[in-house]
Amino acid sequence: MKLTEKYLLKIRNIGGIKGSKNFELKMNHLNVLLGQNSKGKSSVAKALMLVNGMDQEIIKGLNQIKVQEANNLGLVLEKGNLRAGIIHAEADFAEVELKNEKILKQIKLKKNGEIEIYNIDNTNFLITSVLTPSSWIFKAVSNPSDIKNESIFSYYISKLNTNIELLKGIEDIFNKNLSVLNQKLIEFKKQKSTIPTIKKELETLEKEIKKLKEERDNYIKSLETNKNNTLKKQIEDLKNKLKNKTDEREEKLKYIQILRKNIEKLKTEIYNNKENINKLEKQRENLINRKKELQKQILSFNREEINSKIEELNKKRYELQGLTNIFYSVLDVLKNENDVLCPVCGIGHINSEITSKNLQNLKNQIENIEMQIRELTNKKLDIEIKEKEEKNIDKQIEDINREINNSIGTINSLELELNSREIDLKNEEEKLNELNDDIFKLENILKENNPEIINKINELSYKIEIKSKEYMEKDSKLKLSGFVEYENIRMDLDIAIKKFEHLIDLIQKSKKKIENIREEAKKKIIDDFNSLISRILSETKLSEFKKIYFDGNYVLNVQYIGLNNQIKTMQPYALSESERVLVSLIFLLVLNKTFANNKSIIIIDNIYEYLDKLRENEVFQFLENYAQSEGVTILITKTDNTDDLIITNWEKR
Amino acid sequence: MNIEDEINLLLEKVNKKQISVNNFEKELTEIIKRYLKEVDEID
Repeated sequence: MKLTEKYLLKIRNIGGIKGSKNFELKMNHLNVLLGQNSKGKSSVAKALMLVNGMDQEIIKGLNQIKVQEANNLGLVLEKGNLRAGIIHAEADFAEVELKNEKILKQIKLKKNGEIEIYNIDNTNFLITSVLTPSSWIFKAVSNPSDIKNESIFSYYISKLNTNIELLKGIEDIFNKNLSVLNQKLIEFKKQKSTIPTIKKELETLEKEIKKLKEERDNYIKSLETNKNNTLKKQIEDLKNKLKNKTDEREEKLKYIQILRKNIEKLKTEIYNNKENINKLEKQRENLINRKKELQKQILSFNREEINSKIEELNKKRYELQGLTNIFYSVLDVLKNENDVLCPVCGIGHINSEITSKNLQNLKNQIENIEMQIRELTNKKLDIEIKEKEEKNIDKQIEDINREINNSIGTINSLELELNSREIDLKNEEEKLNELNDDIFKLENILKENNPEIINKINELSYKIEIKSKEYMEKDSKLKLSGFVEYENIRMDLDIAIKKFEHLIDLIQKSKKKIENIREEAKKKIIDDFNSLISRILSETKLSEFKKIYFDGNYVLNVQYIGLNNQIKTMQPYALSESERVLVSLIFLLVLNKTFANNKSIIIIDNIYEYLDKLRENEVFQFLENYAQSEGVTILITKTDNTDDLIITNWEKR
Repeated sequence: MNIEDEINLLLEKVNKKQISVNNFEKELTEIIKRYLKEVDEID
């Protein structure tokens, strides 16, 4: 067989096999692995599973479904060195290599837990291309209560329509938004409910202040005056002045309080802007350092030299590949002879052993060259990624500079405003001091005749001042309560509540629409998947099943033709073991046909024993037909009396 | 265009598979922000 027609499988120290063993599988045909019990058939099957399916997602534990399946199939390294596991009990490591003309895959497992792989990437091989009694497919068909296995059904079936995943993602986003909007709406409504209380408190305070002022005015009026008319007039003037000044001082105090609040707010804004600038400057510095590092790496890379090296290596590879074709032709001529006359010159002799050895040398050279080309191409790709990153950094620095300039502009205008507010405050405080002096003087004059009343007036003024402060605090709280902020957008509270209610209603309706579309799509993909099952089932020509199908909840059903052609609909776990194997087999082929990203190999291990012996020819013929029509290489293990393990092509008997 | 039309247009894109989940999220957020900012401007 030429390398174009076969896979070469090299195994070392896998499971029950100690040392090396080589096998050949005929491509796009059904291959039967024969051997006695406990001779290592499953070890060969596992070797093939490892070299096709053990990717980084399993090794690093990134995909739980795949890790679980690797465990089910017994591909995971045993913990500790005492028990025999996937590595032979007496060996420290195990190796598998699979190749044909186009591919080379390798895996090496060490007892210390290290796994090295080559060319095994992003594969769902174990899920879609393997059937053993431990496979999830067989378990899902056999055990209806295993929810985890059922969910893999729905996971794969729903993948048939990529829109399903998109719709599910959209539903999740709607749900996320609904949760945030609802939560905010509750907060807004709570805020609104506090407004009447604050208003009531303000009214009470207002009344109290009014009452205190009236009381104080009455005291001012009651101040005793001298009987002398001239003096009486002067005192009356003084009393009026005192009243006016006291009122004026209250207004001044209010204004000063507002000014102080404004100044505090401005200072906070300036501080925040300065902090933002510091943060941005640090980011810019990091980006500049990264850019320098990248530039250094890009400058040290000689693209032309690498390109010409790759070109040179490619040329050499083509030459060597041309030579290997000649060697294959020569080996074809030799067939089973060891030494024949050269058909070209007719003088010299060609020897089979030497030709094979030289061919192997040539292939080793090609492998070596391909490795060098891969390394160089990777270097080129790496530099291209770095060049893109460098450009991206320039853009990021530009954005940061723009943001820093904006913040500097904001700080300048805030500082101007702060200065002017501070001057205002200073002026107002001076005016307040003058007022306090005036009041003090007036009170001193009036105090001579009315010491107690003046004390009472002062006491009342102090009370009014305290209450006024409280009033202002509450008033500003009320003003703030009328507004809300969401995503840096300031809104009137009442309007915000209306808008949020509208938004929630809209999103709920949109979510419903998406749910309906998803339900329709789900129905369609189940129909599509069922059609695929029907197609494969009709090709198997199995007479006992009329139909195998999923219902709307991804539950697998079988229409079984019983005695007297009676049709019974049941779930497959109610079938006999050999019938469940057939259902699993059909399901495996549908999955492989639909989802395997590399559907070139299928492994069926320990299943032959479950088959009804009368059905062997029927099933094997179908698998052979399937392998040929779909371009898939199938390996099935079968217990036999042969002394050693052998893989043969199946032929109808 | 009002918010209903904007969201319907977005759903249309989903139906025609013209938008990814990430971009859908970004566009929906923008639509919501624009709608809420209208309040801000009136204010």
